[in-house]
Amino acid sequence: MLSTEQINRIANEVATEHLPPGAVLNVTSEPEFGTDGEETLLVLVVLRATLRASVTGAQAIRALSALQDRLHAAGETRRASIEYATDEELATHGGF
Amino acid sequence: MAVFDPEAVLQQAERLVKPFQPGPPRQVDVRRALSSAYYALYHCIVGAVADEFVGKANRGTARHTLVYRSVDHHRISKVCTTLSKPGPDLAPLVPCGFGEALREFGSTVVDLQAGRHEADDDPAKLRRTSKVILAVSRARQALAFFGQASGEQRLVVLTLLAFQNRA
Repeated sequence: MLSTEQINRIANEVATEHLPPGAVLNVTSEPEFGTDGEETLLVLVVLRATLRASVTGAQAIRALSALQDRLHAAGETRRASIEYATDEELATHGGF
Repeated sequence: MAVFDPEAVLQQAERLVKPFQPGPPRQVDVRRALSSAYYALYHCIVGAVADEFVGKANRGTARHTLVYRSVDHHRISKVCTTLSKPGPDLAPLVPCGFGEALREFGSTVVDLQAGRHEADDDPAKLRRTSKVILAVSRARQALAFFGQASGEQRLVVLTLLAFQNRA
């Protein structure tokens, strides 16, 4: 199981590699539980609101696949998912 | 056209998060939209299974409906998980694996299904419009990936969804 710092570093690399330049403002993660009670990982990618529309479905799909592959290769066994929010949404509502 | 046309389901999801009043959309609409992103893929899958084994010409018949409703969410999750890493038991069916398009399709189905469970059942977390917009984009791309897969590979997937070995 990787540390939060290791996960955040990998997730940040994956997000900036796969999403449009300048779109990613911040990447964080936290442990969660899946519907069957299994431990999972939730990665929050904060997007610049003005560039959210530039992120395509293909880019988001490949970012998730790359994240899961990279985490697995690094020894992480928990399933990861990516949550997206914009800086404006976080400023309005806060939260992870 | 199928009753649950996947593209129509996705358009409905987009409409749900379009603001009709100042401020963000209501959580109940955001959650319904997230659920719909998965259901677009679900209806694509079960519709394809029923079309394959009963026939498009028989849509609306009791036989088509029976097959349409026979594939449950757990089976979909299991088969879609397998698309990214088929075990040795599937080697005779897909000696070279399922390929990139079906792999991406499968992982998107599994992820959106988990998102649907959380959206429908977990009242604790706030769901944001960005999550919906990206979920809809991913679902739309996953549908394209499913369409890009070879006929033979798609047929194997549909067969795995409809039939399974006895334990």
